[in-house]
Amino acid sequence: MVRIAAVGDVHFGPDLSGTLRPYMQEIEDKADLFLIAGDLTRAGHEEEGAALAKELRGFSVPILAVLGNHDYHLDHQDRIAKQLGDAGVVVLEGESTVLMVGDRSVGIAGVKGFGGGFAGACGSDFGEPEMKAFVGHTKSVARRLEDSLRSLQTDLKIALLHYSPIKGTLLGERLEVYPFLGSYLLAEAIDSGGDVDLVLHGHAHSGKEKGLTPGGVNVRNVAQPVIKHAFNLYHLDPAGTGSIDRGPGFTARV
Amino acid sequence: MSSEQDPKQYLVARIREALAEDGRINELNVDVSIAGMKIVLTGHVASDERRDSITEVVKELAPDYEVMNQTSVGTFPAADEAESL
Repeated sequence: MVRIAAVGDVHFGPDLSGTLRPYMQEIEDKADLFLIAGDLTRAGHEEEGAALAKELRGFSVPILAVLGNHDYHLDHQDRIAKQLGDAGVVVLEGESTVLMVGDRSVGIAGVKGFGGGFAGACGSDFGEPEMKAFVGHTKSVARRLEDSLRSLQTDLKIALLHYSPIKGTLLGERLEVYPFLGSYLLAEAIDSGGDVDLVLHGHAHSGKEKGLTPGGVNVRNVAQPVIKHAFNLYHLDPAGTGSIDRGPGFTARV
Repeated sequence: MSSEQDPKQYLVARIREALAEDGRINELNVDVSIAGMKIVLTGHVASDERRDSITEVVKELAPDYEVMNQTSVGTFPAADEAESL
């Protein structure tokens, strides 16, 4: 069994210093991996990134994250990613990483994702340059997500996003804003990525937690206002093994 | 045009825009409604500081209105039971 702790949209800043640290022991006791689904900062200030980096430094479980739209607001996304990287957090954008949990390999592909809407009510790569840039960006990140997932030959595959790949986890949000909350292109990439076990995303604060891609992959919206907890826990059993591994977990990063 | 003359839907939009874009706030998930001369703000924010900033910015934007900031404040508890997938 692989134990995942996950949260999104922590919107951290200096005013929240000390609020995540108290959960460190519990996360270390109950999870093999800690995944953060974007919007790490309130508004993309470097001091917010620094506050979160300080909070996450020294966790004994691997922490992986993607950035969210808030982290891009001041165009300091690269600096925030570096601050977190220096604190030991693996920040993914169009890439994947493989971890060993006991004798199970876990592949995590991470992209922020983007909007555009859902099949039947979505933007097209057509018309003004601004519209083509909008939809083109989503197409580009979806391709990178699919390539990353396909490249993984692991017992478990997890897709970590900020934007939603499905409408199912947006229920509760106003229909008019769906195109700004996610894109079906991300779901299509996941369903083409080969035996993905779990998708985690955030961004939709008024959505709901659980959904499925059209191909049947479990999707969990872990935006903190949705789960209403400091983090959620998910247990994954790699297909075909059926065994339970309660060992200390993480052993090596490939 | 003063805020008194504005149709209320434009004022709601201006407040939501300020909540998202004002550097003191940057909150995209606070709901805004107007009843009579009262502006009601609901949702959840993580700290007292963020809640106070919201009240301050909305009062600046609509000085003629009473601002009722009903957002809840606080951090969240630890996880419940794990979900097995």
